[in-house]
Amino acid sequence: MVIIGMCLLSLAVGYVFGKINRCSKLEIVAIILFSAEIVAYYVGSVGGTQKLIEIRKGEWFFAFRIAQYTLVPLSMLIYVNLIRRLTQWYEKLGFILLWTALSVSGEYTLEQIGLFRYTDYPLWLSICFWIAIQMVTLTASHYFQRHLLKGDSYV
Amino acid sequence: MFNAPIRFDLNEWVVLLSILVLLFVYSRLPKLYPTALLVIIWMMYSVLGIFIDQLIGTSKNLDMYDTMDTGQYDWFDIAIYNFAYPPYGYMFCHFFKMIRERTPALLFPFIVGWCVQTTFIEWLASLARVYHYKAWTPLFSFLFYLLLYSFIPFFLRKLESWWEQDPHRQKVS
Repeated sequence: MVIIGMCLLSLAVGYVFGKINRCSKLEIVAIILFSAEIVAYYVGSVGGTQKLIEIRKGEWFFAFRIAQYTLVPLSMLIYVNLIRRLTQWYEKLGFILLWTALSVSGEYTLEQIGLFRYTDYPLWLSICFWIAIQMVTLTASHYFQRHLLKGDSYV
Repeated sequence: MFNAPIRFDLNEWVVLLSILVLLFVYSRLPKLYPTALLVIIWMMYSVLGIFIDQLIGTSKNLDMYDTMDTGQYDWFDIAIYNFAYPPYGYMFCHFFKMIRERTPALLFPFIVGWCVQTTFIEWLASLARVYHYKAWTPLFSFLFYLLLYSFIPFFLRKLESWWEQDPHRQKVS
């Protein structure tokens, strides 16, 4: 049941992304892979190695992986699409703070639902992670668009 | 952040040596793909490796095998995901493209042969304790690689057509 719920949630987020998307297909693939990789290492570190969160067994485990590999990359795609439309630095800063608040509260909601459990996971680490993944993904997508997609050099 | 290896022994040496050999071979190959696609292919293999390990390998749910010294990540796991799987996977894409352009009739034997070779290398790595099979067997690996390397050519085709059509690229050229 929870797996179906997470699939439906991912579909809904994917639908929203489809409506606002201005990225090319290669950019989409690159952003999905990049953010999925960062989250995978982060979850491996705080979940597997440091034991700051506990990933539950059974269907919760698969629902958690769906969230990890679809929800987070999709949310990063929406984030990149939206922030690219802003021009002023204070607009961007405000949006980053807003998106961080949304991400942290989304993560907290998923924990309350039972997708995973906080064991010793501090709030400041969650805030730092969401700010960091936004900055890194934005920088990487910018570099990918400006330097790698331009030209057809086979270096 | 991640654990250090419990002991720096055979499996760590095998990983280090494999990475050096793979990166050397990778650096000698003529570049058949543009840099943007290289980056995507590199990330794809890295994500695939960590995704499969998290799903069926080191997870508490299925726990079919472990990698390196423990079931948790150590720095050598990260090195494998980032510097061993991607160049090895890229070689498949490289030779696949070469064969597709020169002798397409050899594509099917090439894919099957690559799966056999990959399974064999994985089995050798398991002897060096890079992988610790629990419920997993080389036969599962072969079937998995058959599925994976049959799917990758379709993904490569898509990537190439998206590259040709990419609006950012057309603006320049």
